[in-house]
Order: sequence, then C-alpha cells, then structure tokens
Amino acid sequence: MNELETRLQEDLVAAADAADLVAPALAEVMRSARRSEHRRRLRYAVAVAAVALPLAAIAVSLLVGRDDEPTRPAATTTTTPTVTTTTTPESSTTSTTTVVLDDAELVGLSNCAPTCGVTGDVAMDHPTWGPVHVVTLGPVRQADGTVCGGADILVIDSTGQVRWQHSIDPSACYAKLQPAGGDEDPSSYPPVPTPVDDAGRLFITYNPGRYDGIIVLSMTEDGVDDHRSMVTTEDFAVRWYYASAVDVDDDGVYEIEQFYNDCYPTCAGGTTTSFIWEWQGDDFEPALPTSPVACGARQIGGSEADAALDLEAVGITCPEAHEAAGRIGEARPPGSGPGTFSVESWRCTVTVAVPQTDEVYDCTGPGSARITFRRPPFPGD
Amino acid sequence: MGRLSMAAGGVRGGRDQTFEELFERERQPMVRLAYLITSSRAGAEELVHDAFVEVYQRWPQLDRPGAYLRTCVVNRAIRQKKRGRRRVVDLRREETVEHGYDHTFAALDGLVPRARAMVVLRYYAEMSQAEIAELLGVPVGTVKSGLHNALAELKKVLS
Repeated sequence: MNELETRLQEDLVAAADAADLVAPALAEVMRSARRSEHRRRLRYAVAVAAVALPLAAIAVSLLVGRDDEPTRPAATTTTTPTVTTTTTPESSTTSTTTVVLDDAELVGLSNCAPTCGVTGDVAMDHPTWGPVHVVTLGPVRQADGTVCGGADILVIDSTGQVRWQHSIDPSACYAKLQPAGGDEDPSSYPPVPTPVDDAGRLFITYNPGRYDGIIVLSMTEDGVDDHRSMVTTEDFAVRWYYASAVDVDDDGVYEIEQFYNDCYPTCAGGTTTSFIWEWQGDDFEPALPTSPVACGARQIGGSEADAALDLEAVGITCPEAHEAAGRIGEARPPGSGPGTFSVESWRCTVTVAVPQTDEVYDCTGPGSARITFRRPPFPGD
Repeated sequence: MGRLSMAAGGVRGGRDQTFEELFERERQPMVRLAYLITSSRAGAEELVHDAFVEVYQRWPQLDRPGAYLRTCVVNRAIRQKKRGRRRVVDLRREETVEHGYDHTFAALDGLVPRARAMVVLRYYAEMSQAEIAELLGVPVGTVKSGLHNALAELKKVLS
C-alpha cells in the first residue's frame, strides 16, 4: 500500500469519527415501515374500490331492471396518443369529467401543421400546473416518401390549456421529434426504457436531417426548463446534437452520450468518439477524461487582452477548457455553424496574438477539438 | 473482510439473525459509510433510515439481508450524491481547516459519485475489488480502472 492509499485509509476513518453522526433509531424505522405498509394497503384498497364500485353499480342497475343504460364515460374513437384529463368527481358514484383531445385537435394547437403529426404523449406532474401532458409533434411522411416537416412540443394542463409551447415551423424539414427511448443512433448503450428518468426530466429525441440530438425538459415552478437544449428552425444544433439519452450505470438517472466526428481526413472517413454528460443535480456536466489532453503544447502565444477576435469553434473544446470554464455546452459540432465565444470560455487554449489570421488549432485525443480563430478585418486589409 | 465487514459481521451472513440484531450491528457503520460517500450528515442519516425500512419490508424474501442492506445504502448514497449539487463550497469547512483529513475529504468531492464510492469501499470499508464489483454490479475490471483513475485524480489534488 503506497503513501496515498495509507493516507486515504487514515483520513476516511478520521473523517467518519469526527462527523458526529446520528444513527437511526429502531423505533422510528419500524414506525416508517408500518406507515409505508399502511399506505401501500390503502392504495391497493382504493384501486380495488375504483374497479369494484362501478361494477357494483352496473350490477345493481341490472338487477332492479332499469331500462336505461348505466352511465359510462363517453367513448372516444381517437387514435393514440390522446390527452385525457380527469377532474374531481362530484360524488363517489358519479362519472368523471374527461377532456379528450384527439390527434387532429393537438395538431391544430401546434404551429407545425400540416407537415407534422403527433409522435408522443408523456404524462408528468408539474409543481405549479398540476398534472400535465407533454405532447410531441414531429414530421410526417411526404408525398415523395420522405419524412420531412416541422415539429412542436406542447405542455397541456388538466383543463386542456396549452401552458408551454415550442415550435419548429412547418417549412423545416426535420426527420424526427419524439420522446426518447426508441431507435436513437448511434449509441454505445441500450435505449433508455422510458422518456422520463428518475430525476423527473423528459428526454426528447430530435433529428433535423442528419444526426439525432437530445432535448431535455424539466417541469419547474417557473414553467419549463429546457437546460439550453431547445432547438429552433434557424439553429438546430444546440447543446446536444449528435447525442443520445443513455443510462450508463443503470440507476434510473439518465446521462447523455455525445458523439464527435473529427472529420479527418473527411467526415465520411473520420473517427467518431463519444463522451458522457452526467447530471450534477442542477445541470449536466461532461465527465472529464482522467488524463488531460496535452493541448498546451500547441498554444499560440499572446495574451487575453490581445485576443479581441471573433472565434469560430468547430468541434468540442479540450478537456481542460471544460474544467476551467464549464462552457462545453456552447461548443458546436462540426458543420453546425459559427459561434462567438468569450476569451474566458476558452482559457485553456485561447491566448491568441493579434494579428494572427485563420489559425487552426488542434487538440487531439479524447474530447478533441479543432478551433479556428479569425480576426476581424483590419482597415486596409 | 475489511473494517466495515468486521464491524458488521452479519453483512455477508445469512438469515441466522433477527432484523433487530442486524439493525443494532449495522446502523452506525452504515451511516458512516453513507456519510463518506455523500458528505452530508443529514442525507446519510436519512438514506440509511430509508434503507433499513426497505430491508424490513423485504425481510422474508432476503437470503443475505446484510449484503442487501449495504447495496441499498451504497446505491442510495451514489444516487443522492448524483442528484445533489457537486460543487458546493463549504465555507465553514474552509474557515476551520484544522485536520489533515479535511483536505482528503474535500478532494473526494472532485470525484464522480461512483468513483468516490469505490474509494470509500476500498479504503474505508477495506473491501476487495471483487467485493466492490459485486456490490456495485459492475465487472471487476471496471472497479480496477475506476480506482486507478480515482487515485490518479486524488494524487493530483493532494500532492
């Protein structure tokens, strides 16, 4: 055992000794167990009653020879998914009021008609709005056989009111927008079993035409948090493009696997690598490689003060930059267009001397990056 | 068997014990273990309480209740750590750094929750890599590489 391991042993014991921990009391554990068992039985009883009472009512009405049919909920002929909401019953034996929105009505609520259709319906609990349905609408097959169109995401409350909406207009040619858990590609892991994970986040897969990307939505007291993952018609490749929802350690709290093609020598012949974004309680952060990539060896001289440049970042910045600034979320995958970044975001690498022009900067290895620096035109250029 | 297992001899044991015996033997070691993984006293105490409730409810079906309990505690601790904010600066700790273990404990916060759990299980609970692999439900190779990487991270921070 080396010095570090010995220190770990001693310090962990010391930390535990000093923590002044209070172990649970047996009586409290037993009480909790009994309460939990009571709740479980109550739930079971309610479920049985929910089935038994209507059946009993039907049986009684038949026995007394009533001519009229027992009251039933209105039958719906809509195709799934539908938004079905239930209000509080007026008494224990009356039927419930149900709001049903069929596919056509949902498409009507969207801004992507006529090139989209309903692709998913996920029931969630909202801390302010109560039970909601998150409805996804994605592209439909066109006359030429291609799947191409606009997309929309609706959050609808129990009264049928649209509380939140994000639209990709019908002129777009998306290939997919639907709850995650299907045929996302590529991924090193099995598809996630449900679109909502144990941390209560909804994962939606979108595909603007080439690669799948991931949108993450959380229901918050203020509305809906999209974790900077929302796409628009103009800029489809935001935070997690070319990515999949995964559950790396199978604990029910999902991660995001993001892929990167170095496009060297060409995108078709390039090397694709991936890394994992982990949930850290309030946001995702990239899981850093344990060995930093030695990008410092290629640093360009100069100072931050000199670097009043427009920076075009292509690819994913090197790991030290993730750690230093936590701005990987602003990086763009290849081909997604330019982005402007502050020097602070790229402290690891961006120390560029003016007037360098078109410096191409490569960090190789896991989480590799290719960053192009272009200075703005000078007078007389 | 390591420190935790000696303190909690029934962890690997079978059903020749009552729930009360298991509880009495394990409650302190489990809270300490959970605390070392989560850094949270209140969180550790709460999750161990919940783990015992789960064990109590499943008691008739459990062949190795001690092992089940430990898995419950470690998994809950990892999950709690994952869901909690990772980079919380504990100012009180910084103001009152008096002990050598404070630095080690703070350095553990830089590890991802599962790697941290591996380190705690290996160097606090003194479990073998094979035992850790079984508890976490991962291959032994994953534990080896996880520990190797975690130690490299810690070495960088602590040196």
